[in-house]
Amino acid sequence: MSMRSDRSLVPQLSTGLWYGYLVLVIAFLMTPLLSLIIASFDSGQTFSLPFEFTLKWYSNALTSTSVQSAVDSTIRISIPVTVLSTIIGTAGAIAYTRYSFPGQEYFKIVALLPIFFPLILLGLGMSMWANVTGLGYGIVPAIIGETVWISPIVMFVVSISALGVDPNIEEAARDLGADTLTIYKDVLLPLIVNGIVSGGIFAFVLSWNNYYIVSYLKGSEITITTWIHGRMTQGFTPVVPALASMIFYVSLLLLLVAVLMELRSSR
Amino acid sequence: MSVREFVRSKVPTDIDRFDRRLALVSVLRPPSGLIIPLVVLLAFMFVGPIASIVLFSVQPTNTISLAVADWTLDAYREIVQGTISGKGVYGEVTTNTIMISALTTVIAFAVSYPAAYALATKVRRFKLPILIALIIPLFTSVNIRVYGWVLFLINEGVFDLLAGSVGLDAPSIIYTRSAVILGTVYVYLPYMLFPIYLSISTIDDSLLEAAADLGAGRTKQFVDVILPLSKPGVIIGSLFVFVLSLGAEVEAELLGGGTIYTAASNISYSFGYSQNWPLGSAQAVGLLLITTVCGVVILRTIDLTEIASRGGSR
Amino acid sequence: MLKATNLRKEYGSTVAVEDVDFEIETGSFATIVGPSGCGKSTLLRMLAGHLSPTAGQIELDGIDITDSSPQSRPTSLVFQSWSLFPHMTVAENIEFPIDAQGLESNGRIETLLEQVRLDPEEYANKQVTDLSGGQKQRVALARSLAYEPDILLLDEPLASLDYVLQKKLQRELTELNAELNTTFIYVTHSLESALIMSDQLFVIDDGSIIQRGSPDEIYQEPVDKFVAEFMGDANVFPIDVVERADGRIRIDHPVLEGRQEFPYGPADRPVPECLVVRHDDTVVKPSLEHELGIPVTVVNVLNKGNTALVETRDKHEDAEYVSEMSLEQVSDISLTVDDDAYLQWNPDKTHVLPKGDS
Repeated sequence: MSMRSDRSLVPQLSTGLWYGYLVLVIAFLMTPLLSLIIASFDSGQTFSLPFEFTLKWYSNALTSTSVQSAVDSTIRISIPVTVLSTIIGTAGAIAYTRYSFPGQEYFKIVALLPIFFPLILLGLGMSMWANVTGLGYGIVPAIIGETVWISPIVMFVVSISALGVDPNIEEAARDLGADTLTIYKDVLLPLIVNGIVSGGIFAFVLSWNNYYIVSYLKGSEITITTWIHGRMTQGFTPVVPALASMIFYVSLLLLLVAVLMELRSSR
Repeated sequence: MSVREFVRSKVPTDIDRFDRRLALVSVLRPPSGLIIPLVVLLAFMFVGPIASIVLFSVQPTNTISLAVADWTLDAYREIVQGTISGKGVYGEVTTNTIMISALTTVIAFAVSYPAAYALATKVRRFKLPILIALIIPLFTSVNIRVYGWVLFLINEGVFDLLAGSVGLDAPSIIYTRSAVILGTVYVYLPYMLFPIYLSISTIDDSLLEAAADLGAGRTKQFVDVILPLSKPGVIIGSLFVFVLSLGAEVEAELLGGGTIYTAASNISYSFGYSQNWPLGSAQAVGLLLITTVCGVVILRTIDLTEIASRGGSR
Repeated sequence: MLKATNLRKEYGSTVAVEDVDFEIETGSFATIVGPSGCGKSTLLRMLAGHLSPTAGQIELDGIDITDSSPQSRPTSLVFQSWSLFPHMTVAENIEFPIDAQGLESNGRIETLLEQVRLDPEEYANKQVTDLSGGQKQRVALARSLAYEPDILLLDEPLASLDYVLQKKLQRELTELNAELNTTFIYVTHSLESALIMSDQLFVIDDGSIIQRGSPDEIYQEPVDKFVAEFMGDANVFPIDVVERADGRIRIDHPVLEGRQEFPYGPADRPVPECLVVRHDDTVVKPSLEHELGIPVTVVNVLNKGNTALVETRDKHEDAEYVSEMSLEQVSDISLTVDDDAYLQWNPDKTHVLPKGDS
């Protein structure tokens, strides 16, 4: 009899333990982000005890001219990167998932390979290449460099959406008299639009947060991540946690939108 | 006009207008037109940079322009001699890098597996918020996240703030190899967790039911069914973490406080301060080879269709 | 009339469809039947224009349409998985082929929905993802009909529906075919549906048409062992021919008792290798009453509802046979397992056949 009552209790208890473990892992992943947020509200010139609440670093960050120009350069890089990598990545995804052509698997491997490269390798290779080819450094090289890393990620995200679409759908449309333009406009793109939008949001957030590639290609431009990095390693200012936190808030918000879009498309 | 008449008017060989215009520039017809932008981009800014690393590694010291004809193995010689003689940092860099990557892989595996297992088999409620919480860090700049750890670990940092409030006093690990490993485990953990999670979720529930029917206990089910079937995820995750942590630089720079040298920080130093591109490239070539091999292995194993079907059935 | 001449499709070194010729009358219901992997789907996709043939020609009413694209040829394919557009309503799906030509629907949607027996009021504005399998099938049919095809191609569209619904839709398809002046070409691996619906039947195997004709002709006179077995449950007896002359053969079989001579012509027909007799043409009785039979042991008696299957084993050859008998017959002679008996039949029901390709 005692066996029976144990049986109903033990699984519940063990499920609780599994959840508890996941909460610990999440707490670990959140620790530095929460530390940043806590530090961003501390009034000291350097973060130190005792803790005193303030919002002044946020207002300093928002009014600082060097931060403003860093935001400006970052926007000038990340918007073109978002547009380009969304288009290029989506095209690659459609080709890979909705057509069959010789060398398709090789195309997948080559196209997605940049995702697996440590960014420092990409950054320094690009830096030398920019010098050798005369491409130079600045906004345009940074845009091209980031697009190389981000387009494959968009391709990955959109592929997942596009593989969920009935493999015969284009044939069905063509069979009913639709030309290629109509098939794209009325059938294929509407069916994968959620994947494309979340791919685009990922692209924007990743570009905004990119450090390695941009630090090797930016030339004299200062972006937000390189500005923060400079201040971290030399000449600390409490504006750093405040600015980093703000970037995190915005990224979080955009990410939630993207996840919701993906979810809607998979339903 | 009815559809039938309309279609009839085009029979037999009339291709519609858009497709005919497309046919004129047949090279731009899908799928080639869709593939070309990505291929051109990668050929220019991915293959090119990789080639530069390889080519610069065989150039004389301190050159910043390519003269392929004057190739030399000087840079490699310096690294090999430095490693053998024990002079300079190469010995330490190699040990540090391999230690850090290996330990990171092992620890990330130990931490991720139970989490991935719980997520794939135990978690029913709150699955989406948990998944979101796990991917959020991936989208925040590496240097910002690592900097968060610095704020957590430094003297009178957030840890002291929290520990102090409950009356604890512990020495900080910041600026040690352990701190660097903490950073790399932190940054690359999701790359271990998600492949394992995906591979465990592809295991059919009925397989476990069948195992239970045949008299396998929970332990036997785990050891004989789940563990072997999740092996692809473990392999992909481990390759991922090992390769990416070989490239860890910011972690070493910020959490090692300039005292822990890794291959990546040393490469970056060769490029930054000493302006010795060939030497930096020669060190990068090893990393490049390992990365490419592992990347191709991972990509050959990954089946996007399977991932898509998992996502859809979630 | 749809006419295919020497139609051929190769994938690398494999030949999926091998030099197929046929003619199908306008407005008729033709079925292409064969086991999976026999090339029937490849054939259908070539007719629809989704695959271009390696060689050969397709003509519709004398016009060559071999190279015309799917969107410009007057054929429409109903897919096995239906391939409805999941982001559109029922009405939008049906409107799609009309829109694609830049034309107005002008109330056609309602007519089409009625044709496929769906109430326009109830279904027109439903999302297709909310429909059941049978309803999706009807919408797919209406959408294809909206294209006003001369030829409607159906690729096992009923395969994923339950048995009762299959029967119902089979009947409706036949009715629809009679109503419209549209040729239906139906591909299936299920013989039963082929027999019920078609005017004209093509049995295909290994990329070639092995036999063609009305369902009745093919059922009564299968051309070889493959067709006979495919067309219905049949017992096969391998034979040796000892003499062949004047459109007759004399056979040798170790245990077959009774008649040993059968008509077999014409002279250029391949040497026969077996006798084939359908399950329901045979009976099992304790003594040999028909002209042809074989001594067997009863292995099992299965009640199938209105008939019984009597499974028997040949005493010498160790081969197994099945007879389908009425329940009365079985109970009259009270067959039980391990009884010795004769599997027997009227010699006129015997098909003497060459082996065939497979």
